Amino acid sequence: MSSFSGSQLQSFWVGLKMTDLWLYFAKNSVQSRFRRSFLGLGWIVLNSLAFALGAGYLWAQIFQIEAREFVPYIGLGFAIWGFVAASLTDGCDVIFASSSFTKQIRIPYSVFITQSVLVHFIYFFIAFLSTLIASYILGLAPTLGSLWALVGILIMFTMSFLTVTTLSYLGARFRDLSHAIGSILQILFVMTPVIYPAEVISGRNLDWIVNFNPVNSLLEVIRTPVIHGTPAELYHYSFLACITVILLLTAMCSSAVLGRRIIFWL
Amino acid sequence: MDIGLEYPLFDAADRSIKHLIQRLLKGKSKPTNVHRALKNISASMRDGERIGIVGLNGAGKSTLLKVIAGIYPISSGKLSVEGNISTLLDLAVGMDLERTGRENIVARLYIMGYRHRETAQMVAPIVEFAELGDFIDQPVRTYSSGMFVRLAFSIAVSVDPEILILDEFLGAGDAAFFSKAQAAMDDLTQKGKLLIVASHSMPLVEQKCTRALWLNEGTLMMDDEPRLVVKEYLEFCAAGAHK
Repeated sequence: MSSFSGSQLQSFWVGLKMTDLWLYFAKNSVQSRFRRSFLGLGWIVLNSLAFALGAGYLWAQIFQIEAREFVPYIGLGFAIWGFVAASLTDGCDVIFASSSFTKQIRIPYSVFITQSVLVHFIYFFIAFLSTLIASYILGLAPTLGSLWALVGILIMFTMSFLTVTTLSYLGARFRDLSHAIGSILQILFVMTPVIYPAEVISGRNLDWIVNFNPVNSLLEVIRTPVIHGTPAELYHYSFLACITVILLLTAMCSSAVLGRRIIFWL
Repeated sequence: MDIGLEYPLFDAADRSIKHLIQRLLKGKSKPTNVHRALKNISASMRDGERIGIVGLNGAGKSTLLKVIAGIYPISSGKLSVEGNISTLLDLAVGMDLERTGRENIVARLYIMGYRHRETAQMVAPIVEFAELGDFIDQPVRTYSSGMFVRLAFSIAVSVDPEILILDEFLGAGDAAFFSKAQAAMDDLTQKGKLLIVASHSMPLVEQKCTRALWLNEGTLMMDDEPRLVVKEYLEFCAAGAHK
């Protein structure tokens, strides 16, 4: 336990290695959300299928696209957006909410950050798989190239984890951060081709909206492999790599600078 | 140890982004209220000691315990702690009320850094020590405060800590559990472990501790035999009451 007296980054690392603890917390939090509910995690399957099939068929008609392509497009878009939005909004309160533990026992904050992102990732993955299965039933063919989606998912997880790390430290200091993030996400949702095809806004001097939008790139690196069986354009991978480096630096700064004093803000 | 601790006291308005923007725009800066909770406290505590900490409410007892436990960082001085620590600072904190006593034991063991395979054999002795009968498999929200004490204390002593830190813990426990808890604490110190306890119970400090520290407004007033410290402290309290 004396290793905790080291730097904040060290303590962050110690927390990441406490796998049994954050797995336990994550399991607990999933269980308590669905306690006494009849379908349990089945609700997430149902929820994402209803959206993917319902909206997929409707919008496919409106945009004159084949439902076979548009159901996975909208289903995956919904799952990815749900993960990003939920993990970021919840992320602001992670450290604050952990105070009932951290005021009593020395636990690295990274335990709670990992737990929170993991829980949302579990929900995402269920939605992802249900959409995938529905799309394959509709006639979409899985290929070896579809496996590129896993790379995209890894990037998405890493980026969300780093963003949540920064937000959780800032959110403990500034309690209205989650409201601010909520507003930003609302605008971002309109500006991101989650439920409409990207082509709709291209060629109208609005290209910057999709070209400099990390969420759009995340959508691309997961959707393109699933739907077309190929990796996304190289641009998206390099753009995301740059953003990830920035996110890593901000996450390290916030934990190193704020981590020490944060216990007095809780 | 020669430690000081200062921390900012925020009120709700200080914590918002609005406040930050106001400060930046108007250059108006209300200095944050800084509270000096501990002032240059110097002490060293060794294996086998039972240390009682006394003082008025707000004297810094709990703060000192939290500093030793590594929960609060110190602002000045040097602190070195060797050995694994088990704390019992606030009873209800860290318990999931919807879960059973048994599940909370497992959770607490994970929190203390134990691995899944280690926890399996640790639960039974804790359950036995707590003597909660069938309640151990009931949600913790059904517990009385005395049962809370039993559960929390049982976990804290059963993990075989090298340093055990307790804050005002036994108030709600019944006499039977109180003597059992004292026996467990005696046992720990006989094994050469260090016990640090903050208490308002002067008989406990006098009879059970080997050394006492008296804190007042963050300053260490006295560090001596419990008998002498308690006498001085009670005289100080009496003098304060007459003012």
